[in-house]
Amino acid sequence: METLDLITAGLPNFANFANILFLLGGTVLGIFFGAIPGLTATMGMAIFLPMTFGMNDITGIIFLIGIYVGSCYSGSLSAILVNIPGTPSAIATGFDGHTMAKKGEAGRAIGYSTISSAIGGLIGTLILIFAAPVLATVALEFSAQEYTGVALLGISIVSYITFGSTIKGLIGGLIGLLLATIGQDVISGYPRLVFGSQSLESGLEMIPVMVGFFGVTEVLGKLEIETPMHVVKGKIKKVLPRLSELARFSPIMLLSSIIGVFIGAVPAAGGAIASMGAYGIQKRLSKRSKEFGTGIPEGVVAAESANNAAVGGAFVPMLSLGIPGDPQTAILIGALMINGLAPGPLLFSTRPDLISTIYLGNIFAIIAFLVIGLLCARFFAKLLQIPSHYLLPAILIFCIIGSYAIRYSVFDIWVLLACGTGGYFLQKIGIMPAPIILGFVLGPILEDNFRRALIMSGGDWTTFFTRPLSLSLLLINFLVLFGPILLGLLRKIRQQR
Amino acid sequence: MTRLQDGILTAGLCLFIGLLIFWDTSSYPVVQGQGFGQGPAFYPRFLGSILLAFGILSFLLALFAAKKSTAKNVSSEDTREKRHILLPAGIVILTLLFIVCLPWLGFLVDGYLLVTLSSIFIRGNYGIPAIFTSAAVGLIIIFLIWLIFSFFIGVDLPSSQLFLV
Repeated sequence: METLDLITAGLPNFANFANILFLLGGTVLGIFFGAIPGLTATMGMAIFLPMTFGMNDITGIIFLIGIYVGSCYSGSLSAILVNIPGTPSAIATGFDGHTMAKKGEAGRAIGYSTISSAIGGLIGTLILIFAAPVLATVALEFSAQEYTGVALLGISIVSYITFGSTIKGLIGGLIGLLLATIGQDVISGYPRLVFGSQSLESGLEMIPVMVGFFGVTEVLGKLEIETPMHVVKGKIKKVLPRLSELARFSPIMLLSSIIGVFIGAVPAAGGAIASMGAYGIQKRLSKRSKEFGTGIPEGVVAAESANNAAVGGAFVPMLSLGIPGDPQTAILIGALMINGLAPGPLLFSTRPDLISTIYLGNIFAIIAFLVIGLLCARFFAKLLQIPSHYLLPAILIFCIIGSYAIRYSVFDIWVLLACGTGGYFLQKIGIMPAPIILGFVLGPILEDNFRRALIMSGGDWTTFFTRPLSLSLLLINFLVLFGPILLGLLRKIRQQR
Repeated sequence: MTRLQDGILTAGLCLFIGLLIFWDTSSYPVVQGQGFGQGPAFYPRFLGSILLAFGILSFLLALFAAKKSTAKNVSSEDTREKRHILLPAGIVILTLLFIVCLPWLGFLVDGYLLVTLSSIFIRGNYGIPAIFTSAAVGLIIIFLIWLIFSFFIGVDLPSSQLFLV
């Protein structure tokens, strides 16, 4: 379908007042979740995903996109005011943002962060609009072998970049894959890993598992560790930067946004790596390189442009391959699947209105947070002072009711508690929730395609190596997992010589 | 926790899960051609084998690192102030009790008790004013949940067998 048709197909959805309301509501919720340290975009989306059951698919997706986009921006607010990033993607923002705040320039820092986020997000969406259909066309050539490789790549990358060792990440991914096998075998219908439980025969629902690992695990972790919050005192003065200043920083915004989109498009990379990468590159390229970290706007602009551009990037593999670009798009995939939609290249032809809604939803959510962020900066500073003894029980009960609401099953609350408690203990030995959830989401894709490939080839395992695309994907997997080790060995050999 | 302890725990976990899978799948029906994906046991055993291998690898790496340098033996250091682990344990127990009591008390009463008691427990202040404010905030939170999930979305919240809520 022509790109322009693809952009405009979803426009009628935004003439609907209810959809606009949910977009705004989602954006405000997203800003809340992103701004409060300890709450994350993923948690917010997971908690409110059950709310979308009562909505049609378009409204539900718009609502979740609002939360996603809003939270990616607002992580910078607490990074600037309290030096605790509200989301991992705002870590780099705090390097200069908080220092600016300590110098009495909190308003300026928030202004730069808001506008850079908006411009980065718009550039990311623009690239998404043109890149996704192209990649979707390539993806139509994919067979079972290639999809196996892509699913493995998602798990490999998240294992590599997750905090802790790569092996722990892979173990987490495997645990997720195993959780996805619980229930009836897709080919024979035989119940697997149910241990005599009838409730497990239909498998584990995605929401309790996701909310358990991302929500309850975080709540339990936050209870154990006290993080003192030293909010920057004093009034937040002038927020809106001058046009001449924005023009001066426009090359930084553009380059950082492009970096952000490309890193965001790598499955499981996300805004944290995008913003760190862009910050590091700008620091090298800038004439004020030595001043980075001392409270200069360039640092804030680079980090924030990249982390919001990464949102557009994360949608590229999600829409074109059906593979999540980050944990948040994993939840969006969950939302699509709950509505009976299969994310992937076919969606471009079967539901162009949905694709267009995602594009436009991104754009309108960006405009929404731009206005809300600039007008309400002072109010958000007060939000940061909600005590954890009210916030954490509220999150817990929202997680519980959200899990229950899917099929009105108390068993799902048990699953939530088991995953949350299990995730808490797994974190203690360095196995993080992100690879587990990605394994769980990718599990059905991986198993279906892996087994189908073997059945089609009559049990010949070389089928994964004889197809060029499949072989390339496996090589990329190998490089992701073993590349750093091989590079390290090469360096040691060179040093010894 | 030292790296060796970390490695042992990780290997132990992988061993436990892997053996559990092999034990459970031993009773699955054998289908002709199971070796290339048709039998129900194939895929879980395939994953279980890889998990066991990673567990062993994790242990060997930890053993190697522990022998190489005792100075860098700590696998994770957290310098932030730590509260007692009883706090997360207490919340898990309260949640367990919530689930057990749910059919009897219903969501509104049971949920209110969970939120209020959790808030008091996390706060650690058992004075009357603190309990009162936690109780009041708990009421607001449960009302918000009822409003969003029951009133707007139409979710049937679990009702009580004892009360009329």
